[in-house]
Amino acid sequence: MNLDVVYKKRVEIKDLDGLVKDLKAIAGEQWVSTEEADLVAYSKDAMLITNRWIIEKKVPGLPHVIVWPENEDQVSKIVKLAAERKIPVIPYGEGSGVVGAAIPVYGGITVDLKRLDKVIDVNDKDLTVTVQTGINGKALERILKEKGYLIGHVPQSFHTASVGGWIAHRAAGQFSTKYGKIEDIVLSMRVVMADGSIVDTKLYPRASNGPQLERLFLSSEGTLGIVTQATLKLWPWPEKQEGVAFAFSDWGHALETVRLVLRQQIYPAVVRIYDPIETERHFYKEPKAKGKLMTVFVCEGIAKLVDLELATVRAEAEKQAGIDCGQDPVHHWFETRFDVKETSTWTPKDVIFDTIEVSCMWKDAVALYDNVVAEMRKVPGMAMSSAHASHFYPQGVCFYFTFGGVSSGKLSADEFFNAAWDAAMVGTLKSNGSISHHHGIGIVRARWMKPEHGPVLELMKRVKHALDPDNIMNPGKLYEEADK
Amino acid sequence: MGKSSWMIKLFFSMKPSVAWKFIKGFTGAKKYYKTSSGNAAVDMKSLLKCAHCPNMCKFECPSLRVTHKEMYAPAVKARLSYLIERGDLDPADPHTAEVPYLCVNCDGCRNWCPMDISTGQLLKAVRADLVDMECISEDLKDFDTRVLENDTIFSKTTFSARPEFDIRAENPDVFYFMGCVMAEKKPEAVLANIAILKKAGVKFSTHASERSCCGGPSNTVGFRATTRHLAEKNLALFAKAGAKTIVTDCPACADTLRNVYKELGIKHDYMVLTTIEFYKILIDQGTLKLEKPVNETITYHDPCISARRFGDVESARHVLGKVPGLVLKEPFLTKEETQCCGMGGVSHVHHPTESEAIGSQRFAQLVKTGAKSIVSSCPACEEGFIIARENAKGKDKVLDIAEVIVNALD
Repeated sequence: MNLDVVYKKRVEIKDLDGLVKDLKAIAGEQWVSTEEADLVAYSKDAMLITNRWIIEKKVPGLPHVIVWPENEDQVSKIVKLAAERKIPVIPYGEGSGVVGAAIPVYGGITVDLKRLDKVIDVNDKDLTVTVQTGINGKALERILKEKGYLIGHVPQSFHTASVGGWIAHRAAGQFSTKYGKIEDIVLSMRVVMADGSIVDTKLYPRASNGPQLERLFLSSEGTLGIVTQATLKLWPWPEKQEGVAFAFSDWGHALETVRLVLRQQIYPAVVRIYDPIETERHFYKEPKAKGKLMTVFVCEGIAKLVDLELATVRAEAEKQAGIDCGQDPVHHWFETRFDVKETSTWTPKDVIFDTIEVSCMWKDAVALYDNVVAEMRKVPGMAMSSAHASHFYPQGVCFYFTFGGVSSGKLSADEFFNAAWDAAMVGTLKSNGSISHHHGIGIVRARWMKPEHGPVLELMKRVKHALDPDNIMNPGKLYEEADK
Repeated sequence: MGKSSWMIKLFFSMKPSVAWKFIKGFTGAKKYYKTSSGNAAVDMKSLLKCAHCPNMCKFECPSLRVTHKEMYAPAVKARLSYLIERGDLDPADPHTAEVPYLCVNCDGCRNWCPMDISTGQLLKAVRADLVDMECISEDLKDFDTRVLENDTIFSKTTFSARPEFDIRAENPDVFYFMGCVMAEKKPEAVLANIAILKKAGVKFSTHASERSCCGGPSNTVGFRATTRHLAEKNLALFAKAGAKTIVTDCPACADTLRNVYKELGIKHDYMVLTTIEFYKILIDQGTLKLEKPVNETITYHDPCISARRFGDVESARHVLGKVPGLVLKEPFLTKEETQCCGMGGVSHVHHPTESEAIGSQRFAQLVKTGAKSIVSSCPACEEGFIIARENAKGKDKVLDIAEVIVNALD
């Protein structure tokens, strides 16, 4: 292999052949690999700077071995084996995470969960679906759509993400203002713990029966255990779907429209507000939006409710001097919502970029946008920083920033990337924001966990230590910075 | 506002040093598009584009869904193939050399690609490079030897054993080019096509005993010299037969004759049509009349090549819609979202287990419609479903569209 490894400090595995033999005894000969092409395939996830590393002839990190278990029992045995030998275990779903949480920074055993892809039960009365977590999001949607249901969780990575990844990163989808985020959708789960034991949490609509421990695994990024099965909420496929689009003169008016709509307990499924740069980039065909902020609303559900939601949105938008842009921007949004071309277009041109999503309460919203954009623009080589507001709550908002620039002066490509991230984190924390809304921490944000949480981080580490005393579950993520 | 106006505005707002780096980046990107061998036939630019994508077509890849291995996800196949071509991974390692082959060339990825990239099309050039480097499996070497020896992907007698296939007309208008798979596995469909053409009054020849494989399968797995050799033989036969229109019962043959020959620099000016395209024309002209009721419920499987490469999902439905009494029940995933039958990419030759697993998945979707007959217009798909039916111990009929139409002839 003619490639450098970025995260070089792999753990030493004394008897790798013996480990491989034992893994083959658990999962079967064909479901364990130490082949070079497989190791390189699992060396990265969708963390954006790792695309730059491809052209720089680097791989992020190499696992020692990959295993594809067929069921929980095999997952349990694999983790037990790893616990006995104190070998890192890196759960791998579809590899769509953008913060590097699936990168084997210390090597170890990458456990790919793709074979756990079955729909176990669809319950119409309870409106639930129980699935194995290796199932792909779009594949699951197809199965449910054929039966007349949807989950309503549609992140942009929908086509390339697994249910396990959604849970591990506490993900949020495009239609989440109505259907909720993954934590609102998951009802129960099965987890293989760091000692290999299997825990099933009880299924109920709601209970007052002590701390909800299953909540710990949402956003744990594989550091506390491996979620292998989950029961999720379902909804009947919506009867009607309709959208409206308005252009606003500034963030204040656009955000106020959404805030006042949600305050009335009206929840459009999709709400997106694009700043003037992103409006010009995505909605260039709409002359009424020039220099303004395009705002797209999509409502869905039973027809009467959709009509009421649309009427409420229209009324509030008009009060804020919103300019009605008709249906075209809505259609354009639907047509392009999965068009992710930037990574392919810009990376070979030596442009370094990423997206950063953060959240804050309404009172800090405009200031947070201004502060993050201003901080990022101070980074030498920065060419663009823009944002859209992508998720909304009666209490606040998520901004989804994009930055792009070039390594300039003394900054290498990696240094520029880190400086841009640091700038966004500084701007967010300065504005009382939270450093991640739905992508997670991984290795990209780990150094910002202390400023984000303060003493609470120590509490998290105590929980981690209690559940995984030997730190075998996905080390180098969340609570600690990985060594290079 | 224009499509690029945001970018132009952005460029002019940059500091000069940053703008200069942007220009250098744009003009210097080609340094990343070089193969270690200097082979210009490999589209490194598109391979890298695909490799850099977060795999937005991942759910649709049949190879990935049956292997469950990241190595076979479209963008990962592209990334590893890019690294092979750049000399960073060694194709002499048989496991590495397998990467470009676990793709059934169904173009499902392209259907969802915002950049209109078919990973499978890119991998064909990588496979050709592996053939040149002699880094291919014994199964593939045997396949090439067989094709060169027999002029078909099966036996020497695929076409010659059936004299009823051999038709020679004086000054024919049409050359009916039957596919190897149709002739070997579905001879009843060949006879149906012959009956339909005769009934419609088409003056046609087949020269069955003289014809060769189109060369498409060889091209797909990387044996381009073999494809060229077969192309020369077929074009000589077409010239001898004298028809200006080639009608084939196999979409893969149609793609090869229509597109692949040209991609390989082999020029001709024959009009190439699939049987369904031709029958649609004949029906619209009134020369093919489907008047006898066929009181059956069928489901129709769109071949990947027809639906996604040719963008034609209407011809078959148009033709089937003219059959009196016929009821068509569409599968849930249909038309452009059709799924692979498992036989694409010649995968049954080099990865039979995965090929059959893919075919079984699609077969189950078609059976779910409740129709008793599964109809397609591609012999490879039909073979895939016959294998899947055997594996499932099913009783469903698997028919070529010609076998349905022929029953509607008076």
